[in-house]
Amino acid sequence: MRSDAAAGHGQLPVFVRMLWGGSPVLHPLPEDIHPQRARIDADDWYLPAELFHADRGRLHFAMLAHAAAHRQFGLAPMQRGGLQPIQQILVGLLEDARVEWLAMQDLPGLRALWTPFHSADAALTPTLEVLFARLARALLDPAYVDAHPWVARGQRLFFAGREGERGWQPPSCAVLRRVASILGHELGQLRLRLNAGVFEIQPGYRDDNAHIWTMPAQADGMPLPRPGAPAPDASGDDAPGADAPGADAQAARQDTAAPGGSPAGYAVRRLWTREWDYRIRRYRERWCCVRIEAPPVSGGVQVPQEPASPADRRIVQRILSQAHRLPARRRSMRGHLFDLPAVVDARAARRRREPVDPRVYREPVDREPVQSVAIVLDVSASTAAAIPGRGAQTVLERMRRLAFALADAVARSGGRCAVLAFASATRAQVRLQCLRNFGDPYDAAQAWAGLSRLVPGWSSRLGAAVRAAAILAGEEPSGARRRVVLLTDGHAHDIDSHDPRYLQEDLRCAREEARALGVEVVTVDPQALRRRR
Amino acid sequence: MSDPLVSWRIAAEPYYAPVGREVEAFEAAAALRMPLLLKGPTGCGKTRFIEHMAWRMGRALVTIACNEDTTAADLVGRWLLDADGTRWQDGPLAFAARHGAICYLDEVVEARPDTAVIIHPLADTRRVLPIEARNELLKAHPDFLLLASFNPGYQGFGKGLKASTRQRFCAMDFSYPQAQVEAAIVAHESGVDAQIAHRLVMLGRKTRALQDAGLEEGASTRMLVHAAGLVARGMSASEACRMAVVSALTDDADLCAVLSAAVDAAF
Repeated sequence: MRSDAAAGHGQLPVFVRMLWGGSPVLHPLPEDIHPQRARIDADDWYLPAELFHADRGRLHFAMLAHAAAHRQFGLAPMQRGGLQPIQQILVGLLEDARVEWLAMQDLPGLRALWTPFHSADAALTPTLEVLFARLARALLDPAYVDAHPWVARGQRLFFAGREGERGWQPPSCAVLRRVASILGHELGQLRLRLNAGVFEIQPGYRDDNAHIWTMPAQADGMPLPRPGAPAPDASGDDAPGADAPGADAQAARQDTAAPGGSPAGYAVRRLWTREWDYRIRRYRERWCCVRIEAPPVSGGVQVPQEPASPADRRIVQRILSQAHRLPARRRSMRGHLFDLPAVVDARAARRRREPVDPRVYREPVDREPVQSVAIVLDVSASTAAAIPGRGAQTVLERMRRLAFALADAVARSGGRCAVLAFASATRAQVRLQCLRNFGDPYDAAQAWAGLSRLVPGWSSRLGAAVRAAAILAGEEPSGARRRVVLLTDGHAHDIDSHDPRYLQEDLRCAREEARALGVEVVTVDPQALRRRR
Repeated sequence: MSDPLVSWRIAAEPYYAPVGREVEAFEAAAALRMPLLLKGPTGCGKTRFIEHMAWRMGRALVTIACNEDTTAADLVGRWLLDADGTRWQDGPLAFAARHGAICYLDEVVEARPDTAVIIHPLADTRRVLPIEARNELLKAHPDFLLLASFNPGYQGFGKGLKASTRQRFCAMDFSYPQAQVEAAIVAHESGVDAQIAHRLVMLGRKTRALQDAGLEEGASTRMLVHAAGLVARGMSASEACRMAVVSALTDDADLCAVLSAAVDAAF
């Protein structure tokens, strides 16, 4: 099997799902737990912490495949009663071998995955740990011959003399206990003792087998961390925890609060949006609190309004044009009607025996539907920076002009637009200032005034902003072409996220979710004037 | 008189393993000249079924792979310039309607909206095709049959058929065959033995469970046939699956690594 260093932790649950289904949530074991052996607790699987910090190649897959085999083929938890600790370990070892055999019958390639982790060095002093490791190896591979009589006896008892035979099935629960009892008793006769303080299950991909016993998990001394729930934040009107939602499974939940500190008549909306965690490949439902509120009625610096420059108008035209290339109406390869000047040219060229331009048709162009555009400005602190090569003009100033030109163009084309400015300070505070609603009558002076009062600050949790804007755009009539134009200076970032990939992956998912809602998201970086779809 | 449809006739029987009573259902609908809509995921056998039925009924098959640039004119036809002036060229839909072929619009939702208007009069009891550019009302040949297919899985992205179009069609649902049947198809199409075919099918079914975990769609029967074909040419099953399934399904490096590990586990 290929060792692939590229396997990211976020995709590992997909591997489990590919084997026999199921979607475990992977957690790191507390680092103070020793030995670091995987633990299975229903759908929460705890893996050695080092696997989350460093790539250990195939060990991830070997460990997950073993755990998945337990879940798919494992016996019901059993009583420990009547078994000595050494016999309990042997039951675990035999059960490991049993589920691996059943797993390999279904997926033969697993043998090649697990075998390299088994060491069975006959040259080592046959301590208890060494004999256990040799027995584990002998049970995985019936062709393996071990010179130690105890290992050979364990192999014979497990396979009941039918190793390698077609149709052989691993032993039942009762047989396992009996074999463990016999082998444990014989170890006692060999005067080999268990040192529980240093004993480690081998090989390292196998779990601690706590799940095969009915004994309460807490009783054997390891605290089980639970995945954290969204932590309610400080109290007060702004605190999302103040009205934390219940357990409904909606992707986004909306509350409408009474106006407080907002201009009269403007209702604050609060949306609970989910967030994609690529590391566990799951959504964290109701994770971000997006507060849609009115803009401040004063503050900022009033900037004189200027008409959009021709360059800005061209950019806006590009942004608002069709997603695919608009074919020329005249001199087209397509269409069923001739374009007469093109036909005349073609005939003339033919008479001159020159190459004929085949673009001789008039193509009917689909009528552009009405557009509903939510223009979303990222006003995070970084937008206060000056744009290189543009003198003292800041990113925010550039965005402001572009947003104004966009709003103006949409209004002129008979479309509807909303203008929103957002910034975030942790998932609990994603603010979306609504400078203009879809239904508001267009007033250029008012639109400019709102834009000119924007002040940079906080961070940019782009995924949450896109989701909220897509929800607002999605409320527009379905016949309209609904779009979100996101003006942002760069990558998603927030102070409670330290993994640069995390919010970027969430943004990718948010864009896909918007697309599924029928809302197209166009991202524009005003510095580079790049446009991504 | 030469047969204008000779190039569109299917000479040899295309292999098709029925999974239910779809052959009888198709024949009944065809006898009534009902337009048919075939729904199902990509690579599950819709096109092969149509080829098989066209062969079985002795009809020519004109297939149009619709895309976002497919316009009504592309289907109906256009005037062309030649040395003597202009001449009319039937589009594939008009050609099939005029001469009595089966016209199959593959992925019909991809075509531009004006195509739906064109097929409406052909898809109801009128069975006519108005050719405005030629001032002609083309009456469909009695053997003409209109078929369309689409993948409902893509509809979430804002594409779908209008009710006025849908309601002119009868619909047949296709999905991936049961494991045993699918393995037989893979073995037949590629020449691999039954055990390899079975393992490939099991792997394919596992990928189909990942549709909400990063994959847009799981491995289709067509993909599995590709993988099996590579195995039949001497590649190892793992290598063949990486090439025909894993790399073809996703560009995400992490997901590729995980899928590759699952492929290795399967063989």
